[in-house]
Amino acid sequence: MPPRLRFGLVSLMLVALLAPLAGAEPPAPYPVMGAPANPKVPAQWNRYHDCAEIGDLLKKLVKDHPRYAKLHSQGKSYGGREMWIITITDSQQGKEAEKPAFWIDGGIHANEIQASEVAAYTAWFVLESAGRTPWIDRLLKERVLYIAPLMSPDSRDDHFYKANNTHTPRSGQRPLDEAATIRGRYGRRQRDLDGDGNITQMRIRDPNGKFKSDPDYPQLMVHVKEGEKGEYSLLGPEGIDGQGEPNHDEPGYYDPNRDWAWDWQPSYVQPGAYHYPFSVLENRMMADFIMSKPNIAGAQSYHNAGGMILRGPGVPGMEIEAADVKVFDELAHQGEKMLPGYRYLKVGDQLYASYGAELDWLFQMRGAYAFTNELFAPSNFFRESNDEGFFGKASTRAKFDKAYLFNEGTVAWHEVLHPQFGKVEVGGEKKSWGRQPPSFLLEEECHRNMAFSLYHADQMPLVAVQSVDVKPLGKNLFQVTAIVENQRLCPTHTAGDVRHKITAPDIVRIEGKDLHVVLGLTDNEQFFRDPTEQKHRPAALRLATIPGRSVVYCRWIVEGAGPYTVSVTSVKGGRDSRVAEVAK
Amino acid sequence: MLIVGNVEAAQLVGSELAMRIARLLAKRAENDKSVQQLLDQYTIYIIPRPNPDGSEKCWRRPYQEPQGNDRRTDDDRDGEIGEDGPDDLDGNGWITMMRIADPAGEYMPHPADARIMIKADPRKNERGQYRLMVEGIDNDHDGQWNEDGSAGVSFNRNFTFRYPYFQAGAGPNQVSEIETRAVADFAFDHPNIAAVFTFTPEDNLLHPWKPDAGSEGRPIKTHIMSADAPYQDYLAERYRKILGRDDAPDSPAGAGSFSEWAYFHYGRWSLGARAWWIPAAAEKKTDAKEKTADTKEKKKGDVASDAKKPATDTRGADDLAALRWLKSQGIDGFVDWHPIKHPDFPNQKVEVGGFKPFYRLNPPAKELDALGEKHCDFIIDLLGRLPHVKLNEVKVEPLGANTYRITATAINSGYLSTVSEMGRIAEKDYPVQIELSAPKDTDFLQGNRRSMIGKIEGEGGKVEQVWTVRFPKQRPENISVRIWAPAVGADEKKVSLK
Repeated sequence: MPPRLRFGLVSLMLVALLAPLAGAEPPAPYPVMGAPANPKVPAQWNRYHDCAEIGDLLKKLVKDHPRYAKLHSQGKSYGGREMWIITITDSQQGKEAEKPAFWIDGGIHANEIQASEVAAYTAWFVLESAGRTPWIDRLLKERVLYIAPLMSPDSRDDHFYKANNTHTPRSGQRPLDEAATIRGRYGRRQRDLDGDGNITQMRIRDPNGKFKSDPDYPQLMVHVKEGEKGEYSLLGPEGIDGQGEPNHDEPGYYDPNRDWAWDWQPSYVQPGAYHYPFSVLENRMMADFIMSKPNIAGAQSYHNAGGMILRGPGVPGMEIEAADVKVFDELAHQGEKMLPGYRYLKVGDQLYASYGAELDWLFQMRGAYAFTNELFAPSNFFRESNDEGFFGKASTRAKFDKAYLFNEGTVAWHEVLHPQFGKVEVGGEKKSWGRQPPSFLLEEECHRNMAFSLYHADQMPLVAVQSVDVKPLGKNLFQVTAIVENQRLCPTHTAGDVRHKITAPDIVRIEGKDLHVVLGLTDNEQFFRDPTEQKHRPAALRLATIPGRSVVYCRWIVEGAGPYTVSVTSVKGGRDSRVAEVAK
Repeated sequence: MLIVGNVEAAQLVGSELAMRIARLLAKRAENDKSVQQLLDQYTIYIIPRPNPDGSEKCWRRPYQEPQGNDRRTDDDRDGEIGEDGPDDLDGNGWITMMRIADPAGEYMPHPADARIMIKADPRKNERGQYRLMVEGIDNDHDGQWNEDGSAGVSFNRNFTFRYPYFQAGAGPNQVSEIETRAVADFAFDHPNIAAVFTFTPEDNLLHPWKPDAGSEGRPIKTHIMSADAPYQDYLAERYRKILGRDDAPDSPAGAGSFSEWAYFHYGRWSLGARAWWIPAAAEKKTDAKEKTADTKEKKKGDVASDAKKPATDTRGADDLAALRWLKSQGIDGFVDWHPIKHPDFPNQKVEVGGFKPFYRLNPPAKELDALGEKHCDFIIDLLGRLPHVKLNEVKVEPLGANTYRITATAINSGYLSTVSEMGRIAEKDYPVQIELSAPKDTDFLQGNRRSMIGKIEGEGGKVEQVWTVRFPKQRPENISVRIWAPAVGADEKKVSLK
């Protein structure tokens, strides 16, 4: 070592020794488990982010993690907001298009705001863990994540910055003509009578009313007993009656999650359906992207609420192939363990009829095992009952509000002057309470759901050439036998994919110098007792699917002494190759 | 009204007639006051060629009947695009058929005309002698012939009603194509469309759709509603009468078709016809008569009817009629079977021949003008039957204290109801609305300033709307009532308050 360098090293050591004393660098924070305590991109996950904030976070993540992430916008929403998609993979290991991909989206129902938080958290966590957590490094070597946290951005900002309740807006913001929304046009219109940003409830004093305030939770209205006189009548959500008054009606309603192409039905069958599949602009952009990525093999769409892991079909009385049910079951049973209080349900038969939902399109027409998670379980309130519907009983929420939120969740009843009904009282749950976890439960929701999705992503198919065995048959003839393996739970093609030929078959190919393939066989057992011969182009054997955690046996009789390169190429299962020679 | 030309790329007659209708309507309006009046009252949108790229392929050699647009499709879904289309083996510029002599084949020549191939019937102790397929070679050597010519996406298989998922020509999903999206968006953007007329093989003017009482109560409607069928049937009768023909070949069941979409999902009156077909030969009519006779006799249990059975064998009847018609017209529309050398069948006798494409789908050009006149007649007839709502009466009753009861009566003088029953269910039309124009401070004691009115039946269907209003300050001189909907027009009546 040259003297000058040695000197440099000594002084560096000195600096290192002195540093803590001098206070030049703070000590590394305590290594808390879970999210990194010292991320490159600081973020706070016990609060909600609007579209601009999520966009900024994604930009920062991409800037600070260029090896692992890139960001693009699929276009602009009706209201001019970017339709972000962040692509996450290890760009130094393998090509994006050649790795199995997992699709994550959130907030297609924009009022379900934690959905976007979970999606954004996933991008943040994975990128901040890259290079420090070996499990994540392996995931990003093998997989691609496509994350679209803002599926309906205009309505997210509408929920944030305009008067709403916890259920609105579910629609996008494109104003509809009367035809598509006859009922809406002549119905009610939300109006924030007290100007507090919350569409709460209205009550009016009425000696003949059927309601009174709950004695313990005065914001809660309860039915009086039979024969008992009430004090109030309820007038529904804060708003006015638009009946017959031009321009006093709702701008129209469509449900972006009834707009996807599988089992699509028009609005007379499926309320909320718009003109035809992907007639909702934002969905069309996302569907175009997904269709351009046939390597997407698994998917998760985040919604709220109720604590559910949902799979299709959305149409009652329908079922998918048993082999696919088995895959869904195994994934979801792990999900139920990882998401305490969540129930695994089949939408159409166990929840409600839903035609044209995204999860069905992803599974039935794109061949990706797709779940929809309904984030936030009512059992979260007091960690007991699991059967309180989607949002928990109003009384349970009232108890929770009092115990943990110190009544911040509700607006106390107060009088306002209603343009049609005169003096009424307004009060009840705020827009940010009911379907959304409060701050201290949000981060947990994010992490647990992300962990389940990453488990699912890890279980997508992954193909490998396990072994190649060469046996000389005399003269210039050789028998080459390859074992091709799918190491994970999901098959390379869903059963429906095989039936409808959605994704191109997997190809196991043998190549070599001066090679002539005489015969190509495949079988599902090592002795080739009942093989399938591929007469046409036998060097590239086409497999309809490689089942999960299984192997397929491929055999060629070839002229040519090798060496042989055997490769497997699977659109949804990745690719691998191995070189073999005749043993000498 | 919306008129759509050939929704099937190869049926060019539809676009030819659509263009003629446009020209004739304009011409007739010059001299005929009643036509002029109809054009004052109604707007007609014409999309003559909804799949232009597909139809353009009609002029591409070798000639074959095109199906889809220019999207590059993987018709057999094997991951490769267009690797095995038909081939012009004899180099005559036409894709016809080929027959391969094969004792395992299913086909045999027709006993009456050996040019026509029919399926052998084992119940008649017949044996197949040929395999029959479209002219071509197995380009990709996969044991299938001509299974992927990358034929594109068919306009008439890409709509949402009974969509044929994953089938060739259906596209990646419903309304996925530039052409179908353009037409659907145009339709939704024009709420004044009350009826749609389509040149299509899925016709209901020659073969009226049949209602199905059993399925009518189900949430998803699959058959024409019973309430709509009589109107459709009558319009179909009018069409056949004007056309002067009643022997149309069977209509295929649609899958993702445009005209069915227009009725079931777009919720409009939808009428379709193929406009032209090769006339069924006189012999066939005799056949039909014999058939009826047969049935009658059978009912009686007459044994003699069995002896006549071969006469009712309809195999190849359409082909025979087509051959006769081509001959009578002096059209060279059939390629006689002639042997060729086929690389896939080196040891078998292979012949190429059969009907040339297009001739059976489209009439000789000389017939187009007369057909155009007839279709223009029908369109005019149809325009006169569209719903038309008028305010019949606005009655004012003073109740004292500046309070009035106003009763408006509106009548639909058209033949068709303001919306079909299917349209009422589908809710894609704009509702008929009625509005009372009165000063801003008017107190509506009964009734809303503006209300929606449901379906008004045709042929004089009537609705009544009642308002009771009070004028807190000064009563106006007049008030006016307006009734309107884009697809049924508008009417307004002003009345003075006494």
